[in-house]
Amino acid sequence: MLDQVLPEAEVRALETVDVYIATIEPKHTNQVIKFIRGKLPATQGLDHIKQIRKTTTDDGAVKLDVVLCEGLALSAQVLDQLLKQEGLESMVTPRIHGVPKYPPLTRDQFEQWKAAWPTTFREDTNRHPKISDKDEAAIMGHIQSVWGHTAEATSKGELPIAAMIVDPLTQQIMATSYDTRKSTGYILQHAVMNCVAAVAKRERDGSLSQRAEYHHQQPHSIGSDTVVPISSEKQGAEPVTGRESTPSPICGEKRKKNPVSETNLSTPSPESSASPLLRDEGAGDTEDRRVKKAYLCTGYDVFLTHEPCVMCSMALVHSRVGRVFYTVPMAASGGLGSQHKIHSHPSLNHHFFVYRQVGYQAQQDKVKEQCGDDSMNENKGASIGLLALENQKVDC
Amino acid sequence: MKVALELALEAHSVGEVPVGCVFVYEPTGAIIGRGRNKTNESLNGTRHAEFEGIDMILAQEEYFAKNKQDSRSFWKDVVLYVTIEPCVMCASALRQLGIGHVYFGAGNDRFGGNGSVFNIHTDTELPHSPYPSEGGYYRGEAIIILRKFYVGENTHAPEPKKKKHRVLKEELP
Ligand SMILES: [Zn+2]
Ligand SMILES: [Zn+2]
Repeated sequence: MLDQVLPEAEVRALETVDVYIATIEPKHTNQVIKFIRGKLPATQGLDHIKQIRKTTTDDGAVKLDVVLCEGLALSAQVLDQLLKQEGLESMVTPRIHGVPKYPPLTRDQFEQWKAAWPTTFREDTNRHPKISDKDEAAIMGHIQSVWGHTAEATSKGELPIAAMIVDPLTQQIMATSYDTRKSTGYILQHAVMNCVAAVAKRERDGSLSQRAEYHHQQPHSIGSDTVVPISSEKQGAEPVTGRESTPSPICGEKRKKNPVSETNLSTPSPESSASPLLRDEGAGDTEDRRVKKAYLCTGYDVFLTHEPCVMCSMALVHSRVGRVFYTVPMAASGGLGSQHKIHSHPSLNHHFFVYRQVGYQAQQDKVKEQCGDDSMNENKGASIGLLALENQKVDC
Repeated sequence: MKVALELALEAHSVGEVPVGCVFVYEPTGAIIGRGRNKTNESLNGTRHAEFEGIDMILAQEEYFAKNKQDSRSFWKDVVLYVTIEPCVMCASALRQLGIGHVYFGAGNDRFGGNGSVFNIHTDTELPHSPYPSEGGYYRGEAIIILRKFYVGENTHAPEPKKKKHRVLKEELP
């Protein structure tokens, strides 16, 4: 079971907004509702609030609590005046009550908030996509493989932080990179930035070569000191033919649809490893081409050893990735769950799914193995693998 | 700021989102880096004007040496002038470098990392020190250039109007 980093809106505690309510006799319901609809200002943004709740008095009589209008919409005097005009003042005695300000997004919130006031609730399964066993196995394989690149980074004097971008439709590895801030003296060359650049570089080079050859072209080395060569040995994983395990992220219609998803679903084939960009060019759809080019990572999966910093998190938003899996949360600097939740911020135009502590146990076991039984010996454990950067104030 | 605006116009003329910036080295007053948005040309959604400018600075031996020797004390003498508020990514990058000061034209209520959406420049929780950032310089001009892009006055821009609206909104760095 992967630990999804939920948007703030899905984990927030109850916040209330004041409304006028009144406890009325059930037989007065129609009369009161008519008054509310005809004479009182409609509530704004409280469509999730039920108008009426049942209540039982101390002596066992059934009464109804009714929402009249928002607390800020009218003064108590004006409300009393209106009730008097309609001759309802003896049936309706308004009082202020706090109701849930936001619609509940999870069952937990729904259950907790209904004590304040009942709300409607429709569970949106797109927010919490089910990950099939097969998909999870592939994910665990990729996270293990991205950790495999930290040894090379360490051997070159770099921080042991690595990134890998995978096309989930084909399981093709688009690029693998590690942090190169130490060797280059350029402190912004984080694993994610290098990896996004590597995918772009690969695409730029690919566009120059014959399109027909592209399909059979092996991933090639990137001739730049800023990026790590794409690993070619991990090629050829079994293509995943269904996409039911990766529905669109939360932002729904705002998110650009993965341009290959439909065609790939109907005709999965070895040839389907072409990038979305090339496929689109082939289809002659030039209208939107430039837009897609800059969004080269649309729908891709990203595997990271560490939770990315704010810069890298936002770089993933700009790249329109689909899902991010990371092993080590970075409490002081992380932008995908720890310090901020950049993947699900309501103001940002692209959202993606994030899963944390993926493969954490496996890495911890590895540390134990390497350190012997007293693995939690700080001096020893802190210098290797998983623990090397955890709890440090480092931007990954 | 005027040079930054010219760079924004240059970006506009090649169909990129029109954002431009210059980096000034305070001890000499010299412009040591300039950049404009290059996301389309590079096929890389992270190639914002700020990154182009930073790379230009580090490509110069003199400044690369200063950066390598003591990155923090070098960057604290560097001031950024950018036509649009830095996005969250660039705001964080500038913080990690230790930029001395940021002046920008118009705010960026979609992506802005210096006050509009996030406050990466003043966040007390994040690593590295906060930095001062002020907006509103040549704001009108910066917006006019953006609006030109939006209206599609430039015939080189490849997208039809309907799309352009979205490009503008989404790709504001
Ligand atoms: Zn980073
Ligand atoms: Zn930016």
